[in-house]
Amino acid sequence: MDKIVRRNSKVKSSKLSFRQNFTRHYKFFILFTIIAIIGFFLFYFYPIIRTFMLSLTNKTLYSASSEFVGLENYMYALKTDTMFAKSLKQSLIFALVSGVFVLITSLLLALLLNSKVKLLGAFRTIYFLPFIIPSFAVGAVYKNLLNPSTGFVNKLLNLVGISDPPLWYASPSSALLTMIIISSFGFGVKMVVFLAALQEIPEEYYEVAELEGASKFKQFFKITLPIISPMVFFNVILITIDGLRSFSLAFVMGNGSGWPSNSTLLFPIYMFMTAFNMPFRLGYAAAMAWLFFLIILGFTLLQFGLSKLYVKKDLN
Amino acid sequence: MRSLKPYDKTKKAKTRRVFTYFLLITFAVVALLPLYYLIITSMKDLNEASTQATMFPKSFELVNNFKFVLNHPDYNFWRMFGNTMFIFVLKTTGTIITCSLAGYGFAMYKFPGKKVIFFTLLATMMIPGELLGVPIYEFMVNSGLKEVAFIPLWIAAWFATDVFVIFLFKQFFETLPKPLIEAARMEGASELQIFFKIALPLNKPAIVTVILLYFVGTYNDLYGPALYISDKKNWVMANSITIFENLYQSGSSSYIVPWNYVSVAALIAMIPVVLLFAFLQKKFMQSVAGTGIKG
Repeated sequence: MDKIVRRNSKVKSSKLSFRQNFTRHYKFFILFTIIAIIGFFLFYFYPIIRTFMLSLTNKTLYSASSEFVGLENYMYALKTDTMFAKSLKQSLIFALVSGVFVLITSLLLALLLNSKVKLLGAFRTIYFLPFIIPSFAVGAVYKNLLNPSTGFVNKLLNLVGISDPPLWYASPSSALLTMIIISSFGFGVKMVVFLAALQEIPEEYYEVAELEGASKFKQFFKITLPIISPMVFFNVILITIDGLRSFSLAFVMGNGSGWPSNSTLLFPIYMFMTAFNMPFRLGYAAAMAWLFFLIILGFTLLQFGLSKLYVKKDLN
Repeated sequence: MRSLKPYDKTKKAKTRRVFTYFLLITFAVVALLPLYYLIITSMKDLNEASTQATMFPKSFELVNNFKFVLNHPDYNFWRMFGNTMFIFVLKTTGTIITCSLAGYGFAMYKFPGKKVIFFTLLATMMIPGELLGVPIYEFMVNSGLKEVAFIPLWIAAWFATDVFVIFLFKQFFETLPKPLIEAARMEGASELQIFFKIALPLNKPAIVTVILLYFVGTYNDLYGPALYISDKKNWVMANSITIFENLYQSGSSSYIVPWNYVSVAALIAMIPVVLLFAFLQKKFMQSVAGTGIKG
């Protein structure tokens, strides 16, 4: 019976029976995706559940047993732990300030480069160059440049008459700002993204606008911005989340512990210290991870909401 | 067109031009300054590098600095580079094989609820690593695999956990010409043969992108090694700078940092990336920019 149906379906039918679908599609779908499905359960599903279970206990890595403590870890993080609040605050400042700076700089440079300048390729390469410094070496390179006594920047500041230049990363009052400045050097990557988008806008749009006598300013707000705004918003979300999750630079600048006096302690560093340094407080770190996840989720949803508001209005 | 413009308009355009180049050049200087100072510092002798901020080096010890760094007992370039490459190769191979299998499955076959499954996988991209790391670390320590053949640093890649790459491959496989696949089927090729002999080789551009991204990602990674590498013989390139930063650390808070050696170590660490960038600049910039890796 089955054989007959199958033979017939080869000729005409568009509707296949389950059995036929299985031999032609389902079987192979399972075969090809099974590894990804297993991976999902092993490396996403299980860890998320386990992190939640841990967050309700006082487990440490080497403790044989642990107690169920309910929401105590969450309460402690939110109410008592000043380090948690501080690291979160600093991560937010870091992400927002360096994010805004990177966004403005990269967008501005992309626009300038798109205005038919000479040596476009050379400029683009130069802006991209800081990216070739491996991120684990970035900290050392800028520590050298900004060193209060042997750094070139303070020497320059001395030369122009500033006798008391900042101590940059060595002082708790300026260390976070220094990290923001260093991180802002990453504008080159985003600039390449924006430039690529700008170059895809058809030339004719501007030619028509020019004929109608629209100023460059007006052209930017009426043509350029509406076209690239969805992409810009998408990158704003990426930049913010990257900033909140930033680890490497702070790890190097703060010697892995937020030096000097916790002024470079970003949340991922604090979590790393809590979970993976003595005494390996897995339970508490897990609770912090959940709180952090909720904050990132909140940010993403907020930005999606905002982008709907702005991006839609501009598209017409 | 240009000749029709009134005089003041061309003058205005000229000022704008000057302003444009001024800004472009300023930012170029800002972008080049760290690299310049890095190179300059690597030439200085220990005394000059650790006490003076000279813009042009008075001493020229580049060769000796390289010798010092390369001969330092803790600094074993080939071992560190080899370890990094070991992780890179295993991670990349695993990701390319397993993610392209999954991407092909999602692109080519029907399945009830396929869209929901794919969306669930995509949603994992929103989950920060912080939420996943603790149980995985716990497992690696308890199972004794923490520092065995760098397992924690590449094992997940063999389970198609990079959903972005699955997405990338799926998009690509969807553009494969259907008649080509049908023709192969007619000739009796099995689905796996079609995948390995036809689909996968055609997917080369996406594979090259993944290789580049994974090279930069693995090479730059500091979090993984900080978490899973402690034994000196397992050190990777990410460990190579701190050797010299802490060279004269005596326990007290003020110690000399030999910036010349640190700079040489940083320069050496840059070489592989520079070579890649020099030969594959366009592809490199497209890959990195197109997928939002952070610098």
